[in-house]
Amino acid sequence: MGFYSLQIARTGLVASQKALDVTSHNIANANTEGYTRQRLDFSSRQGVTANKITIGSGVDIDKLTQIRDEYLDYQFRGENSVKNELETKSETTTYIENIFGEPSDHGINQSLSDFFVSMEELTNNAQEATYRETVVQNAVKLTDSIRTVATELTEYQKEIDNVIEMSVDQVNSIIERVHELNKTIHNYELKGTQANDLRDERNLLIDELSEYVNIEAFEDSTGKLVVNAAGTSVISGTHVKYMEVESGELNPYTGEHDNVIYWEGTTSEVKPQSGKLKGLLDTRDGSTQGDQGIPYYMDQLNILAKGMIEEFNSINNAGYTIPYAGNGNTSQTGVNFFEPVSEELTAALNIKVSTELLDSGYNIGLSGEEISGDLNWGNSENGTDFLELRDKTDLSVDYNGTTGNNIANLESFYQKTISDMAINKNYFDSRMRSQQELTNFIEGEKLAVSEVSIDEEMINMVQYQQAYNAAAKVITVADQMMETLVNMVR
Amino acid sequence: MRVSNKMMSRQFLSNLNKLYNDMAYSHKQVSTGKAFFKISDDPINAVKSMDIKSELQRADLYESNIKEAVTVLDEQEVAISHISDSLVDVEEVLQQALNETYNENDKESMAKVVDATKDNIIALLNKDYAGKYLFGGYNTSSTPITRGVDVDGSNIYNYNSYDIKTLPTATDAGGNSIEDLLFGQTMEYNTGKGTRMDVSLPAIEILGTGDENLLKLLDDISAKLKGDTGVTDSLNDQLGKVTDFFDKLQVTRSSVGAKISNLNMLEDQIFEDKNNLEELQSKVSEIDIEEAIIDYQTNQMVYNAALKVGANIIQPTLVDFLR
Repeated sequence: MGFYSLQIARTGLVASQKALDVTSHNIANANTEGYTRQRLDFSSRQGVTANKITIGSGVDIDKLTQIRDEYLDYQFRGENSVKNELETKSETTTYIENIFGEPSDHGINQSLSDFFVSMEELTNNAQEATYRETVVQNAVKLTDSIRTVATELTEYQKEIDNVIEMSVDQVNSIIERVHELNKTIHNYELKGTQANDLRDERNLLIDELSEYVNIEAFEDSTGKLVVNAAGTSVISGTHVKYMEVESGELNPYTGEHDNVIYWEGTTSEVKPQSGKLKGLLDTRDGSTQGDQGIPYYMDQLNILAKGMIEEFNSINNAGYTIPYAGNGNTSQTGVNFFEPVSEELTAALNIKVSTELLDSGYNIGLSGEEISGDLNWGNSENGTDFLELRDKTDLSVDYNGTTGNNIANLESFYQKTISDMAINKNYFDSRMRSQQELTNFIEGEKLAVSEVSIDEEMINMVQYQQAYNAAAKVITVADQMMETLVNMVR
Repeated sequence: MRVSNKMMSRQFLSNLNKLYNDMAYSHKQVSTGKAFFKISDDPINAVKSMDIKSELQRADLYESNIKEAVTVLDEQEVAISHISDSLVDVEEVLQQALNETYNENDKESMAKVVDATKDNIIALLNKDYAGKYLFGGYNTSSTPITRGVDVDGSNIYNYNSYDIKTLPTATDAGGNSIEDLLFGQTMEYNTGKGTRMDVSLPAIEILGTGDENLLKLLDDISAKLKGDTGVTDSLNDQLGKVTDFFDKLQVTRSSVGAKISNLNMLEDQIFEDKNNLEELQSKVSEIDIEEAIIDYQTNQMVYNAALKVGANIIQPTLVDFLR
């Protein structure tokens, strides 16, 4: 039966060779991102019956399979979206914290404190021009620091708006590529082959898509991937739906139109439940204490600025200024401390010391009575109201349709705002860390199944090599048997 | 569980990174001595420390306010004691003039003593401290007492440009009392949150207003001594009035003294407050250096251990052992 053995050994040789090819492909891709290890599936071939004995006729190569757990893929993508949302929020809140830059010797808190201290020194020395100018300079420093923070916040809001647009482009490009791959894989597999490496590429793209938005993805019976994003079907068979960015309502803080994301060709807005997009949208739009985004901090700064403008102006309006050439040499009332702002939603962006005060500190209305000539410059009866302002507990500011926002006093209101911000940041940081751990764990599980282990491939390699050697030996033996048989015939 | 090579290196890398972060943070703590760098490092203590910082700044301010107020009051006390001494001199002169017989020349020189006393009193009341007039009420920038001559040749004394002689002694027709008008001119220093100390002492509180003011009295005494018959009061009456002014001055003096001792007490209190605040500040915002160094060394040890173990695990694979 020498011929039969030769045939069987031949299938063994081919199988081992192919398996070694696969092993070598696995090793080559040990560091390729998204690569799923592959295995050649064998089965033994049913043989022919002779003399009532059926001997198998060698080995068949069935197919090349990917070792991958789809359920872990599904889990990973869900958690990955949440992870990316939290990472985005932690990143943006960190940036916002850096904008406020507290605690610092130049921040709003220190400027407020310096301002009140110089005010107090002035009320002890109301007649001194140098003390008056110090107050004006400290007021300028204070308004500068508020404007700087407010301006940087709106700049950051614009930047986030741009990032949203870029992210949408990225999402669309991923959707397009997945759609193309769907077609390629389908065509490939019509010929009965497996497009394993293209699948890896497609899976990697879907993982990437899950960074931006919450998705669900599964393969249909024809091997095409069906993808739902943010609760809407984006790829299904030949149907594909992209996102588009349109200019929406005017943002009162930046003075520009915010981007709104729609499903292409419709008026229905894309509402992501997680992912980077959700994180970015929340930061750009969050306006309540429970959902603190840039608008919330802008509102707080505006309330602070508006409170300052109203309170200081009402006190300064009541007091008398010191006569000098700039105010026509007459002691006046009704002089503003800060320039009044007409638009409260941009109060923090526009707060400025009044032109009268910038002209001269003599326009600080400290005196409780009209001053004529050189007399009574030391009157700071009205100035004590400025000092009392510092320790008030019942300041209230009307803002954006809400009347009587009780803000206690300026300093404690600001301190509450930044501590809110810090607590908010820490909340996202700690949620991010636990979500990262969970996602890493699932990714680990996923990779444990599908990633290449060099040791394992080495063992397989030795195994296939041995099998190859053994099959070759069988051929040698069969050959020798044939030779013996042939030599018998002389 | 199946473990691949990449999983090992990935885990190793992420752990190493975490350790490195911890080490960087404790290094920053040790090298700066600060317990936190951003509000979010420790929101409650960071805001508290901001609060303490501004409280401290204010305590410094109150301390310097009190020091300044005490200096002003000290100056006032000195002035009052000089004025008292001058009044005693005037009393002695009057007693001499009453008890013994002096000739015209003697009386003339006595009148000169009284005139000099008056000039001295005006000079004392026009005293300033660091460019700030102490006895002018709100008028801190120009001399409170100025002199002029009336049409009849008599002296005019103005307090902040008001003729003292014509100032009302009681409530005038318009319902304004001299107290409201001029004594109400306070010079207040904040000595604590919401507490103020008025250290003003308007010159007219010492001099009095209307016809019965001290300067007019001294002018009259001098005129009487010079033999002016137009002065109706006798020398004896005048002596009585000088003594009244002297007594009134002692009351003012003791009230100034009371204010000073009150302020000294407040200063001690603030000094103590400041110490407490400083202690609290260092507790809240500074690290315990020993603890931080131990933390740092622990982190470093763990980091070194991780590196060593990592180096042993990552390097070899089965490849190294196959022939």
